[in-house]
Amino acid sequence: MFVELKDVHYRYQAGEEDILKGVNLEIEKGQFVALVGHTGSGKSTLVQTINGLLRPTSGQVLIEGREIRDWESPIKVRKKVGLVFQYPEHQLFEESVFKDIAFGPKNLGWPEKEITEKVKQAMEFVQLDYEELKDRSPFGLSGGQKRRVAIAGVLAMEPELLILDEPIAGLDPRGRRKLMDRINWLNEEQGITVLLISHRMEDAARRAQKLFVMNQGRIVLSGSPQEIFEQRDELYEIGLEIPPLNEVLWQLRKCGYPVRTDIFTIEDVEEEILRHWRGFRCSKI
Amino acid sequence: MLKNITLGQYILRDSLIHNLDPRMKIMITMLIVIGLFFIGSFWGFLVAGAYIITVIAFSHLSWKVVIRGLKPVMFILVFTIVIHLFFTRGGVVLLEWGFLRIESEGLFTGLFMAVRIMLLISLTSLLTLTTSPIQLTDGLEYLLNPFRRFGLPAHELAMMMTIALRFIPTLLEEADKIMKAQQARGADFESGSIFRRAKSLVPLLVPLFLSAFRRADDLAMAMEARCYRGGEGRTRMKELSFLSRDWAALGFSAGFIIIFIIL
Repeated sequence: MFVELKDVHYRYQAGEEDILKGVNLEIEKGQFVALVGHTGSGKSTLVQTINGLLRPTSGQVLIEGREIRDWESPIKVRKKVGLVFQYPEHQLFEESVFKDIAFGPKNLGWPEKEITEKVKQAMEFVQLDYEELKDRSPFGLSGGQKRRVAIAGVLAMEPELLILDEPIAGLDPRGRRKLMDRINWLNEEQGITVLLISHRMEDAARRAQKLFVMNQGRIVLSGSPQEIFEQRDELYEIGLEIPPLNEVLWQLRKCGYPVRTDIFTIEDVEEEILRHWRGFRCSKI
Repeated sequence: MLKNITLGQYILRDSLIHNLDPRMKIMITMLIVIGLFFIGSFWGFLVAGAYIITVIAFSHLSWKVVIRGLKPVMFILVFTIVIHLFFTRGGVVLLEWGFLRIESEGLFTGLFMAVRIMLLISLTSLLTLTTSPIQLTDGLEYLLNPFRRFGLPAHELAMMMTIALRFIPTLLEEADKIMKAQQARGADFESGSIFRRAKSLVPLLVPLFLSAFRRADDLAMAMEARCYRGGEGRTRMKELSFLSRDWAALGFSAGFIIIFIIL
């Protein structure tokens, strides 16, 4: 198993309530998984235990079968597990885009030539033009570009697992779609394992192979998006909503139409609804 | 790691000391502090100590909290005693060892100064422990108001203090977040020489300053949007007024000051 969490507990201060109350989680290499839960459910705390920024109060975090504590240095773990925080553009600090992206590789002690190569590659990964932007100040870029520079800063370290904490928060619809497509591409074409954190189901639904639903420090549901969306009422109870498309299907079912509820692309849903719309055939408008 | 820093911490209780008018608390604290510097004997300190113990008892705070406040000045206390031990001359020679010589005057002055510092710190920390930052700045604004005639921007100073205090926890949280983000990129804040460590703070400080400026900008805009334009003509929802308990506290404290100055 690539990443494995066994009964992980975490609390910030002795005497306080646990933020994580026994989390078990497994991620296979090459998977695209998503961690969903509302604000304060412990998602961000959980992922910080995966790259060793937080030490669990009890329980084990294993990367490639080895407990994080037993790795020679924390940097080795952080190279393997790249963590992109929420609003990562707030961490930019260098005078040029190149230097900022090179910060991670430099900390790893790579030679100059390799660093240049990795920076180039990372910028290509997030669709930023190397020649045009490398000498520009990151602070003069647009919001979406800044975020991509920050993500490139993590990608330049060539992580095998990329964790993104709400990567599309605050972007416009086009920026969201483009970034999500790119994350998908990184997973499919570059073979990078991706763990996406979101409080919105629809971000995770279409791309992820597996969903983990968190509530109050525990993983309460896990499975494929299809399986998860079947449990609409349970999700509703813990303050989460299934994507609007699936909600439509659920409402139809409540009205007595035996529609499927385990689909989530707009085309499939359209077809499913029309199939039940007696006496009506779709003549593509 | 930055979570342990507490600054001007306030502990909410419902006690006589908490409910006193902040202006009175500030004035009394100032009077006592001045008084402490006029104390000439250990007997005076004993009375001042008794005063502080009385205040703690009335404030419903635990002793531990006040004693914990002394920890950060432990170094200064030890330093003061050591300096006086070896460098203040006079009195009987208590110990002689090579070129080191401890004389009774040194021991006496060292302890004297240390006790004074301890009393000063516990007294002022009692003020911040029992008065919320907002009350504190409100009180200061009132007290500074008379000096407006001489061009002192009392309201502006108080507002600046309020805002600074309000942003301390926010900025600490922000610093913690940025630190973690840079650590995730392999930054190392904890090892290396002093020079290297200072340099390693750049990736933390640049984003922190940027976000502080951004927040300041947003706040200024939000205040202007609510028609804030300085202290001129501003009224307040809660006017401060002295009650009889405030005058009683002043009388009580003044009595103590007179006694320990005389001793």
